[in-house]
Parts: sequence; structure tokens; C-alpha cells
Amino acid sequence: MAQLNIRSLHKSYGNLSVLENIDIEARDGEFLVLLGPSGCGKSTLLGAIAGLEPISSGDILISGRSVVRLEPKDRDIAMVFQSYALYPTMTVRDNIAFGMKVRGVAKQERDRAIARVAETLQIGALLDRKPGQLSGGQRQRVAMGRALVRSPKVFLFDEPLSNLDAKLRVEMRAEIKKLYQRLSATIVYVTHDQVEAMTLATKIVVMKSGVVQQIGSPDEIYGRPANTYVAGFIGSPPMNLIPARMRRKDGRVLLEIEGTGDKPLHVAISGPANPSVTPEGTAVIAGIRPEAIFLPHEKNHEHTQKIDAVVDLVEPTGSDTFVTLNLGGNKVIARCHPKSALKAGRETFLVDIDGIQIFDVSTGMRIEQAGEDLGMPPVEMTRLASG
Amino acid sequence: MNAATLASPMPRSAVRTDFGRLLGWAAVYFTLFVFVLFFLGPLFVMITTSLKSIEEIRLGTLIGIPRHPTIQPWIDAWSNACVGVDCTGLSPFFLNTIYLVVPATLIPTAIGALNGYALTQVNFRGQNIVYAIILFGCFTPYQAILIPLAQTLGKLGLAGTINGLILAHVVYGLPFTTMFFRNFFISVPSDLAKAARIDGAGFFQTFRYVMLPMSLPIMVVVIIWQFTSIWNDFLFGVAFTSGRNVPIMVALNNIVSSSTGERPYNIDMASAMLAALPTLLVYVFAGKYFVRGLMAGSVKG
Amino acid sequence: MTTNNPRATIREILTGWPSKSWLVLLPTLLVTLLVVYGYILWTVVVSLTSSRFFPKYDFVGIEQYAKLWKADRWQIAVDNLWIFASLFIGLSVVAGLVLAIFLDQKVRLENVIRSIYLYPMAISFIVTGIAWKWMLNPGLGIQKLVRDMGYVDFKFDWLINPKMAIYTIVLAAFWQSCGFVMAIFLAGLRGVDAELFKAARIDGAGLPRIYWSIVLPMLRPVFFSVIVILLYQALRSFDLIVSLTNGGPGFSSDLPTTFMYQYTFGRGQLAQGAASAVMITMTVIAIIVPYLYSEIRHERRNAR
Repeated sequence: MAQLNIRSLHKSYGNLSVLENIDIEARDGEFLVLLGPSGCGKSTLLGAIAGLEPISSGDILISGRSVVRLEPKDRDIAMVFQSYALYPTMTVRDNIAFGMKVRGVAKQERDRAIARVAETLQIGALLDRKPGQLSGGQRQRVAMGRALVRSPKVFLFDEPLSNLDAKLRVEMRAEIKKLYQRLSATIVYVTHDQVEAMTLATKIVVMKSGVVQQIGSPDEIYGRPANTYVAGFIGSPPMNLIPARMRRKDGRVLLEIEGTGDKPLHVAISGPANPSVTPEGTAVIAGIRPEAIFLPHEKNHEHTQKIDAVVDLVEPTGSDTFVTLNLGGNKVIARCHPKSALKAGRETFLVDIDGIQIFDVSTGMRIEQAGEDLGMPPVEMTRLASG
Repeated sequence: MNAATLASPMPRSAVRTDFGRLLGWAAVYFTLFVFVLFFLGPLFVMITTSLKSIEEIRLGTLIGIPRHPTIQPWIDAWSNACVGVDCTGLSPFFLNTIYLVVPATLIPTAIGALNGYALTQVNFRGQNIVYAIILFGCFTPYQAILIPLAQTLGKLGLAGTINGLILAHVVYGLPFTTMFFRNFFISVPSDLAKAARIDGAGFFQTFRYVMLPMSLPIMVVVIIWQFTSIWNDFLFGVAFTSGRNVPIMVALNNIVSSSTGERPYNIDMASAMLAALPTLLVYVFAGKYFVRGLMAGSVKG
Repeated sequence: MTTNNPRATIREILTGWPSKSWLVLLPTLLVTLLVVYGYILWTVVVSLTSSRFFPKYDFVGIEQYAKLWKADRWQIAVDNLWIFASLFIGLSVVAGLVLAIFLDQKVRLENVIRSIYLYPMAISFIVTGIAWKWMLNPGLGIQKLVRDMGYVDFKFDWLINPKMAIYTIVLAAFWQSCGFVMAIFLAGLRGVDAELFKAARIDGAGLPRIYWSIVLPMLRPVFFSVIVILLYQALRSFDLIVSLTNGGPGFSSDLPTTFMYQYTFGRGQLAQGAASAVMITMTVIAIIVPYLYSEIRHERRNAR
């Protein structure tokens, strides 16, 4: 196993820059997820690590050794492709053995390695079939087997689950996690699915248009999104982003949000760690997770504030009921308990003050709040997954 | 055609619709059947004529079934039909053509497979231009290369020989085989070659172990295509070979148009059938691949 | 592509996959440049000389072309080509389309019928010519057949009638290619979404209307390809004429291709033959280059 370092990596086609100044570090045994919408450069970055995509400048190190000038085969990596890329004319056995064969590994040793992988992935019964005779899930396993058999320093996964149906995807996701826990290998995993990212990663890299937006643990990415882009990308439904103004009154910091009716809503928050960042009257963006807005009877929480809002739409999903509120002209989504009877019309909600984030209007960057490190709300993963 | 009666989905009355539909189906089947007769007619006439004696041909009718079928015309066609005074039948020319068609099919197929792979599996500068240059070769008007090619073959000492003809078919087959394989390999997901690279396979290993086995169906198409084109070729044969070296279609044309005495129509037809048989058999047993080649390489017609 | 620029060394470039691709393609590329492009140029050069039996490189300008366009035989060949091409293409397209539409009506034995329509494509033009020559033979062929049935005045002597001989070639070429055109149209029709028919029916359109207003316009690219392919085929027809009429009677059914062959190899008029070959080539280029261009552009658009 090994650590992976990517240093000021650039890649461009002519004038078009597809990867910009990428710096990523994955320690030994890290499960690194590259997360972003399609076209954000995450697959290109993976290809660059694999040696399939040339880079314009920068460096990639595996175990401290620069690999940019090495052929893919000399980088000691293995890759699982989105399309699985199984060789259609070869049996499962030959697919798994192909890499060893072209490297001249002796047959005995090959057979041993295949047996070991087949055992791990429970594909022993499939070894003599061709890929065309396998189901999607089985192909997925074979593709992983082909990577696993090599025991490489770094495993690369390119959206490996996106071609599976929903149920199988959840199963395979759990299997990959188990596999990872057993191998404790270094993994780079590309996905556009935030649930996959949250459940699998030890470290997530959120990307957009070839630029890294945030690197952090799933908790950090969810709880303290670095900017409005990450806030709006992570979570389902994502964080509510509402225009607001900073007010100071009696030594307290208030967030002024357009309320229902004429009266603006004032929410007391701990305020920015550095008060000079946001003088009186500064426009900011308030970020509130849907689960930080709820009905009074649903939860007991210390730091809450009442808000009045108009319920526009109620969408039960079974485990949760999503309520679309009109808060002074802004659309806000709240995650409520399914048992709570709600009708369209005026209603009083509670907002968890500790869960409010503030972002700079012009840059979209998150503004650090005072005493924040202590008051981190716990992230409830199950809720995420159910979305 | 009376397509208007095929069906009327907005009936004024059910009776009229049924009648109209019936008439429509009748028109469809009648037309299809007439064309079946039209297409089968010449084949039927050729076969029946080839089984008749020359007396029966003169006295009977064109479409009459042979009353005393004989395979003598086929035997004559094979072993002693005459071109001028040279009465060897088709057999030596049949063998010529086999000697010609095997290398002239296999060599361009092998090279075309590699070319098609090289044109698709990696991006390199000028790739599209290279392909366009080769592709245009498929449309070469052969009249425009006859004179230089005849000159070249003469300089190489290959004028009038089968080996010269092999060379001609190889070089002008290359654009086609390259095009076929290129169009196949371009549909192969690029991930496969990437996976092979990560597995450690080089350029040629990827071709040999991953791509070539995959291309088996298209290889059959290409082989059949190339075989049929060469077997049925007349222009190159008549331009670049002579005498005993001519391929089958040239020999057939010589036999049929050599005008000494009374025309043995039965032997002519038997000769034509013999010459057509290999490609007809290919059509019967590998029609799927033949048609695929036809559709993909329709340019050569 | 394989090396991670900008630090790739010469050695890495030389051992990379693009270099190997070039290595593989280079022989074919060079051969094609020589035997296609080089040879066409060579023919152009010959056409500017006064070569007879052997090439003689004395440049006489466009004299051969002037002579060519003054020759009756060439005029007839060109006229014949347009008669042949327009009739052959028109008939093949109409019949091929009708047969394709009819075959697409879920008829019984579709596979058998399709195979019968298409088998002439497996036969050489020489054999086709021989078969039709036999059937069109006035003494023993169709004319005699009909006369024997009692219509003693029936006349079907196109093969030996200088005014009509070219139409026998149309007939035989149509017989050979019609099924092929049908197959192309059928493939196009199979590509039309079946739901479209349902939707149009719900809108109240009858089948003829659906074909005329919806399906045929959708097949426009297919029409385009078919016409180009058939035109190209008509331009290069040679074997069929040789075996069916051999350009006769006289040279009444000559086409540019048979003209070229006769002058080059039969009469030792190399330069004149070359000039006619250049005319043929220019026509082919005028048809094929725009076609290839649009095809390649189309392919690229789809690839994106």
C-alpha cells in the first residue's frame, strides 16, 4: 500500500484548461473519492493518475516516487472501469489472468492468484464463462477481480457502480466498503453520486470545472461546506441558501432574513470568528440544511428560533416529509417527520441556530463562525442515504 | 403501386375497410411475387438450359423444363469448352482463380485489420487525414489507374501473370479492408484498450489478444467481401493477364464470346453457372456476412 | 497520448502508441498515395501526350481532350451513360423503395423473399450479362417464347437493335442491383421508430399518408446515399456491357468505360484512352468527394 500525492497538476487542451492546479494528498490506506458533476474533470484526473491521460504540468507521486513519465503498467496501479471493460472474447479466468500473462507470471502462480481472488469475490463458479454470459453485478465483480489480483499500490475506480440498477448498487457499495476495510488499500474512487462518496470515503475531493472546491472528510464536507457550490451540491435535498444581512444589536450578532409578512426575521448566531469580515449591514448568504428546520414538537434542541413561514408544498417520501416553505419570497425546504400532519398555509417552524452557515455573497466562500469547532452538529448519515 | 389500399385506419364502414385491407394485402403479395419471378427467372433459365441438349434448346422454349436432362454440358464446360482452338474447359482457370484469390484475400485482410486498429485505438495527429486518404482509395475509378498499373507490372516483370494480378488486388483491396476494420474498431469502447494498457499489454499485444479475437465477425465479412470481389472481377483480369493466366470471369467471357461454329448455349450456361457457383454458395451459407459487407462496402458495388 | 508531456523524451515518443500506429499505417499510406493518387496523376500526364501503343512523354497540351470531344463514339458513350444512369437509378430507387415498404408490412416468408431479391448481388456482372444475353436473344429467347405462344408479330430485339441496345443494359443492371437498393431502404425503414406509426395513426393519418409525409422525408439521407452509390456504380459499369452487348451493335451501347478500354488496350490509343479515363475520374470525384465529406462530417457530429 502506498500514499498518493498530486502536486500542482495542470492539464489543458490548447487554451481550454480541464484541470487546474490540483493538489491532493492521500495517505496510505485512504479511500479518496473524487466527487463532482459530469464534466468536472474527475475522470480526467483519474486517467492522469493511471497514466492514460497526459498532463500539462505538475507531478504525481505514488509512494513518494514520481510516476508521470511511467507507462500505466509501470505505475503499480489497477483500475476498475465504469463500463467494466472486460475482454469479451476471454473467459473470466483469462480476463483476470491477462495482466499477469503479459507480464510473464508463471502459470502456477497465476492460478493461485486467481483462486485467491475468486474466493474473495465469490466468483469461483463463473471462472469459465465469458463476460457476455454474466449479469451486470457479476461483471462488476469480475472487473474488481481483475484489479484485485494484481495487489497494486493504488486502486482506481471510475464510477464502478453507475451501470448497475439501484438495488444492486447499494449491495455492491456495501461490498466495496467491506473489501476496503479488509484490504485497507489506497483507493481513488470517482463518482458523481454523493451518497457513494459519503458512505465510502475517508476523504472527499469535491470538484467543479477542473478546480478542486473542497477536500475533507465526509463530515467536514457535509457539515462545513467550503463554499455555496459544495453546500448546494452535497445533501439531498441540498442546503437552503437564503440571502441575508448581518446586524449587530446589544452586542449580539443577528442574521436578518426576509420574513413572512413585512417584518424581517432576526436570527441570533454566534457570528463570524473575525467580526471585521462582516460589518453591520453586509449582505451574506445563509445556509440552512433542511433537517435544521423542523416543527416545534419534533425535536428538543437548545439553540432554536421560531420562524413563521407559508407552507407551499408537502412531499412525503415515507421516511421523511419534505416541506417547501415560502420564507419572505425565498423557497426553503424543511425535512419534517412523516407523522407530522401538515397542510398548506401558515405554520410555525423551529430553526436550529447551530446549523446555520454563512457565506460571502461575492465569493461564495464560507465565513468561519466563532466557536464553531465546538458546536459541530453531528451528521446523521442515514438521513442522507434515504434521500 | 396501389399503396392507398394498404389500410385505412379511419373506416367509414367496417365492410369497406376489410375489403380495402384485403385488396391491399393482395397487391402487396402480388407485387412481391412478381418480383420473385423476375429475380429467379434468369437463374431458372440458366439452370434449365444448361441441362438441355442443343437440339432440345433449338426445338423447345426458353422456359421449358428439360425433358431429357443431361449433365454433359457441365462436363464439357468444366473440361473441354473451347476458347478459339484451345479446348481446356473452365477448370484450369478455376484453379488460376483459387491460386489468385487466397493470397489476394488474406494479405489485405491481415493488413487491413492492423490498419483499422491503428486508426482507432490511439489518437494521433493527422489521423483523420490518413483515414480520408485511404478511404478515397475505395472510390478509385479503375480506368484512371489501368495504364500506370499496366506499365508498373510490366516494369516488375509481372505483365500478364497471375502474380501481377495478385499484387493489383492486394493494393486496391487495402482501402476496403482498412475501412471495414476501422469502422468496426471505432465501435469498440476505448476502455478496453485502456484496460489492456493498465494490465501491461503493449500496442501489438493489445491487438493480438484483445482486439483481433473480437474482430472475428468483421473478419469473416471482410474475407467474404474480398473473396467475392476478386472472384467476380473482370476488369483487372482482362487488363493485366492473358492467355492461360486469365482468371475465371475473363475465361468465361472468352468461352461464351468465342465464335467458332454454332453456339453451344447449354455449355455457355453451364460455364456461367460453374463460374457463379462459388460466390452463390458463399451467399447461401454465409448470406448474413455477405450482406453486411455489401451494406458496409456498398461503394464498390 | 501515452507520454505525459511536457517532459517526454525522444525515446518515449518513439516507443509510444502513436508512433506504432504510424509505423503500421505507413506502408498502406505510401502504397495508397502511389497507386491511387500517383497513378491518377500519371494518367493525367499520359493524357497530355500523343502516346499510342507505348507511353511517349511528349507534351501536346489538351489536344487529346479536343479530339475526344469531337469523336462520335465518345459522344455516343457519354449520351449512353446519361440514359443508362438516369433510367437505372430511377427504376432501382422506385422499385427498391416499393419492395422495401411492401416487405416491411410483416409479410410471410420475408427472409426468403429478401434472400431471393438480393442474390444477384453475389453473381458477377459477366454471368448476369451472359444470362440476359441468352434470354434477350431474339432467335431463341423471350421473343421466340412469346411468338410460340401465338403472338407471331411480337418483337423484342433490343439486343440487336442499335437504338435499343443500351436499354438491355439498363434492364440487366436493374435486375442485379434492385434487391440491393431494396435492402438499403429496408434497413432505413427498420430504423424508423414503430411508435411513430402509432402516433401518426392516432393523429388520423392512413398508411400511404404516413409513408409519404413522415417516413420518406425521414429517409432523405438514405435516398442521398442510394443515389450516390448507384450513380457511382453506373459510372464504373464495364463488365456488364462487355458480356451483354460488348458495346454493340457497332458501338451503339458503348459507355465511357468501354470506350476507354477499347482505345487503350484494343486500338493502341493510349493517350486518347487516358484522356477518357481522366474525364471519368473527374466525374467520380465530383460525386464522391462531396459525399465523403458529408459522411465524415456526419460521423464526427455523431461522435460528439
